[in-house]
Amino acid sequence: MDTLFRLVSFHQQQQQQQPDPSLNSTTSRTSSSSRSSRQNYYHYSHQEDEECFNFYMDDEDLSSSSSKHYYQYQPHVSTNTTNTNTTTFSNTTDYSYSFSPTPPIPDFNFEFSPNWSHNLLLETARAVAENNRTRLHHLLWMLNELSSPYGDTDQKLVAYFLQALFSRVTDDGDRTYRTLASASEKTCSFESTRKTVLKFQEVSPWTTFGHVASNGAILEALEGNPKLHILDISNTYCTQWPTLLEALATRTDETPHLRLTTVVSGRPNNSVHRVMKEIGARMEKFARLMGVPFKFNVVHHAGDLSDLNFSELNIKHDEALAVNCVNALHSVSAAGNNRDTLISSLQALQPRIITVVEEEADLDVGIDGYEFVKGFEECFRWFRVYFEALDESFVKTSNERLMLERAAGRAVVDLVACSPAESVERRETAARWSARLHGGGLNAVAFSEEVCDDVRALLRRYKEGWSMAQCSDAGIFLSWKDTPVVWASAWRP
Amino acid sequence: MQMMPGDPFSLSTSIGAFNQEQNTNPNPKPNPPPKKKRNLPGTPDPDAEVIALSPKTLMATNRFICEICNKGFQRDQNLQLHRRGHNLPWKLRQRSNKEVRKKVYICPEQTCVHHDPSRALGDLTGIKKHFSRKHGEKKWKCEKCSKKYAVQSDWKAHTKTCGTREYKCDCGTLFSRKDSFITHRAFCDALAEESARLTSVTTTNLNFKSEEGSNVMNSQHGGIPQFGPHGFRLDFNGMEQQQRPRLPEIVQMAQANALMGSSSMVSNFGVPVGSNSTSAANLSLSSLPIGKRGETVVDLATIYNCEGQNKQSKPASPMSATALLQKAAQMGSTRSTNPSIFSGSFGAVNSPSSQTTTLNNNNAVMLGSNNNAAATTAGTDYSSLTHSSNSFDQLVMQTNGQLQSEPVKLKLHSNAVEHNLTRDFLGVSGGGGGAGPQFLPQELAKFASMGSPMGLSQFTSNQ
Repeated sequence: MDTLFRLVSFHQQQQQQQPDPSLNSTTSRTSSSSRSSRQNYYHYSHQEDEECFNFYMDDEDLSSSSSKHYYQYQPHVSTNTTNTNTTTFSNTTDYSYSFSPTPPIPDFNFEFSPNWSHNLLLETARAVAENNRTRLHHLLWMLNELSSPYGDTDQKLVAYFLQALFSRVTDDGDRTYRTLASASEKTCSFESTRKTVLKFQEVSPWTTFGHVASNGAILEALEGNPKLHILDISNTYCTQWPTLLEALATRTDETPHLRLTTVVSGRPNNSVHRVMKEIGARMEKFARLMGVPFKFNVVHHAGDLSDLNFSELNIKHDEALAVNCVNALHSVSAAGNNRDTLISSLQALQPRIITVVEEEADLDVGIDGYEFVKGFEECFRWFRVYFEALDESFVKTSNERLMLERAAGRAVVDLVACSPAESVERRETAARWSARLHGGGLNAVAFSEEVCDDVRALLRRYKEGWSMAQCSDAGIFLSWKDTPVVWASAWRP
Repeated sequence: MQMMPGDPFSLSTSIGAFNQEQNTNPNPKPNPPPKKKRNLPGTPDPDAEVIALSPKTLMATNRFICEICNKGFQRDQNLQLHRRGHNLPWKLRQRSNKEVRKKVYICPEQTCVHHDPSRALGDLTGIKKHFSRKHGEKKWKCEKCSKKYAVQSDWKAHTKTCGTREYKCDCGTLFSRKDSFITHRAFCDALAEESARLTSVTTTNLNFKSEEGSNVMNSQHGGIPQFGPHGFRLDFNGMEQQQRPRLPEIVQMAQANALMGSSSMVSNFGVPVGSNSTSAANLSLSSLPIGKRGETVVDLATIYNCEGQNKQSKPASPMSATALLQKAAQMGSTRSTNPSIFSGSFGAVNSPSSQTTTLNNNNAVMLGSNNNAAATTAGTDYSSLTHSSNSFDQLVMQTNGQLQSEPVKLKLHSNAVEHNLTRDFLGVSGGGGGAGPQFLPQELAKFASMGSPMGLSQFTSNQ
C-alpha cells in the first residue's frame, strides 16, 4: 500500500515538479491503513503459500501489499504501448491464484504467458532508460500489483526487481540498500547463518560444487608439505573447510599442520564479527576432533579487497600457501583496475595454487541508456536462473530459501540502483575472469580426473538437473539445466 | 643364489643367510598341524624361503600357456587338464610329500617396506594384492562415490556397502551423505557441548585415577596403575613411530599447561614441570613410571611402550598419546551414572554405583592431596576447562581424531564396558550415550585400513 501511495505521489511529483513529503518519508512504512491492507494481503497470500505466514518480514515486503481495496484507483493509462501484454487495468485481482469474489476478466491473459515477468520488467527498464515518466509510472504500478515475494518465481522476481527499480528512479538506491542490509543484520546470528548456509548446501550443489573442486585442487597442490597455509577469501562462512580437514586427517601419511586465514571484507558489521568468531571456535574444535594441528585467523577488512595489505597477513615462507577465492573477485569494484590490482597482489604472494570460484554472469549493469537495459536484462536472466534453482531445490515452505532470496533482492538493488563504482555484486563471466587472471601472470591448472570424478559424484547426490561441464577457457562449470551457473578454476603463477 | 628347479619365474634366497641354506630347522613340525599357524603380516618365519618375483610376474594373471592354442591359465593344474582336450600328455602335479619349506614373498618395489626380506608377506595372493594396492594403478572405480581401487575384490567389497552407511551426529540427525555429515558435525552444537563436558570429566578422572586407580584397575590389571586398559598402552607402542608431529604439540601443550598453572591436569599427565612434581607423586600415574623418569609425555610413551609390549601382542595401528587418552576415556566412560562428571572416566568400570561413591571420595581426596595451589586451581579450573579451549581439551580432543580408525579395536578391548558407556566423540555410533548400532565403527575401521586415496574421493555417496 505504501508503494502505491508513493507511486501516486511520485506520479504527482513528476507532474507538479514539487517534492512531496510522503516521498521522502519512505521509512514510515507502517500506517494504520496499511495494516489493514497487510492483513488482507496475508489472508490472500496465506492461502497460496504456507511459508508466507511469516511475521518476520522486512518492512519492504509490505510495499507489495496491495489488495482489491485499491482497485478502484484507475491509473492514468497511456495508450502508446508497444507491448500487447499491457492491457487496461481492471478492477479485479491480479493474483494468478485468484481469490477475489469478482471473476477475473477473461482477456487478462498476459499473466499466463510464460515470460510475462521478463517482458514487463524489460519494458520498465526501457522506460527508465528512455526517461519516459508516464509510461514508467504505469509499468511500475502494474509490477506492484503483480509482485509478491511469496508467490511463484515470476512474482518474486517482480517483487525484488520492482524494489530495485523503484529505488533507482527515486534516486534512493544506496539508502534502500543500507536499510535492507541493516534489517537483515538485526537477525543475523551464528545460528541463523549456519542454518541457512548448511541447508542450502544440503539441497543444492551451488556452493558445494566450488568447495569440492577447490579442495581437491588444493590438496593436490599442497601434497607432501608438512605446513600448510590457506588464505581464504570467500562468502561461504568456512563451510568449505571441514571436509578438507577430514581429508587431511584421513590421509595415511603424516597429517600436516594447517593454518587458515579467512579474510572477511565489506562493510564493517558487528554481527559478522560475532559470527566469524563463533565459526572460528567451531573450526578449531573440529580440527582438534579430527586430529589436525590447526590455527585459525580472521581478518576483517573494511572496504575494497584490492586495498588489502597482504603483508599484514603474516605469510610465512616455510608454509605452502594456497589462496582460495570463492565469490571474492566480483566483490571488488569493477571500476578502474581494482580487480587487476587484486589479482596481481595474489600472484605476488607466489602461492602454490589459487582457486577461483565465481558465478557465471555478466552483471556489469551500465549507468544508463542502452547499457543499462542490456545489463538489466542479463541481471534478470541471471536471477531468474538462481530463483528457479532455489525453487526446485528447497521445499516450498523453506525459510532458508526466503533468506537467500532476500539476499538476492539486496544484490538486485545494488546492481540496478546503486553506483557501479561501489557495487559488490558485479559478476563477470569465466571468459573475462580468465583473461584477467592470465593478464595477472597466472596460468590455469586443470582439475585432475580424480577431482572431476569427485565433483560428478557430488552432483549425483543431489536432485536431477545439475551437471558438470568443462569450460573452454579454464576450469569447470556447474550447470543447472544446461545453463552454466558457477565456475570453478585453479591457477598458479 | 640358486635357481629352484621347476620354478622359472622366481629367484629365492633365505632370510637367515644370503649365501647359505639353513640346515637346521628350529621349528620342526613332525605332524602337520590341523590349522596353519598364521604369522602376523610382515613378520615371516625366519627360516622361510624368500621369493622375489618381478612386477611383471606378480601381476601376470595367466602364467601357464597352452602351447597349442595359447590359452592362458592361472594354475598349472588347470593347464594340464586343458591339455587333455588336445590329447597331449598331461600330468597333474601331486602335492610333494617331503616337507615343504614355507615360502614368503617380498615386494619388488624398492621403496616399499615389504621389500625387505624380514618384512616379507607369507602369501602369494597377499603380495599380489599388496603390490596392486600400494604400487599399482587403480583401475576399479565405485560408481557412486568415485573411490578408486586397484584390487577388484576391494572394489567389490566397497560397492556392496557404499551408500548403505548412515552417519549419525550426536545431536541425533541422520545423514546419508558423508560430506554433509562432516560439515554439519563441524558446526554442530553437540560438538561444542561434547568437548566441554569431556574436559571437565577427564580431568576429574585423571585426578581420581591416582588413588582410585589402584582400586579399580587392580581388579583388572593386577595392581599396576595405568591410564587405561590394554588398548591404551598398546597404542603407545605405535606412537613412537607415527604421528610424530603430534607429540611435540602434546608436549608443548602439557608444558604450557604447567606454566599456566593448571597443575591438576599437568600432574595427571605426569608431566611435572618443576613445581608440580610433588603433587604428581601422589598420582599413581605419575608415581610409577613418571616418577622414575619424570619428564615429558614422550618419556611416558617410552615407559608405557616397555610395559605394554609384554601385555599385548597385537600391534596397534599408530596412534598418538592423545588418541590413547581418548580411547581410555572411552573405555571407561560411565555415562549412565553421572553424566556431569563421570562420563568418560578412565578404566573400565565394574559397578557404576560403587565407582560413583569412590569417585566422589577420591575426588575430594585428590583435591585435597594436591598441593594447595592445585586444589584451588583445580576447583576453578573445571569451569575454565569446561569453557575454554585449554590444552587438556586439545589433548583429549586430539585423540578423537584417532577414534575414527580405532573404534573396532576399542570394541574388542573394552570387555567390561557396556555399549552405552562408550564415549563416541565423533558421534559415529549411536546417539550420545545410547546404545546405537555399531555398524559404523566397523565401517570406519575398514575404511581406515584401506589406503586413503587422493583428494576427497574417499567420500562415499550414500544415496
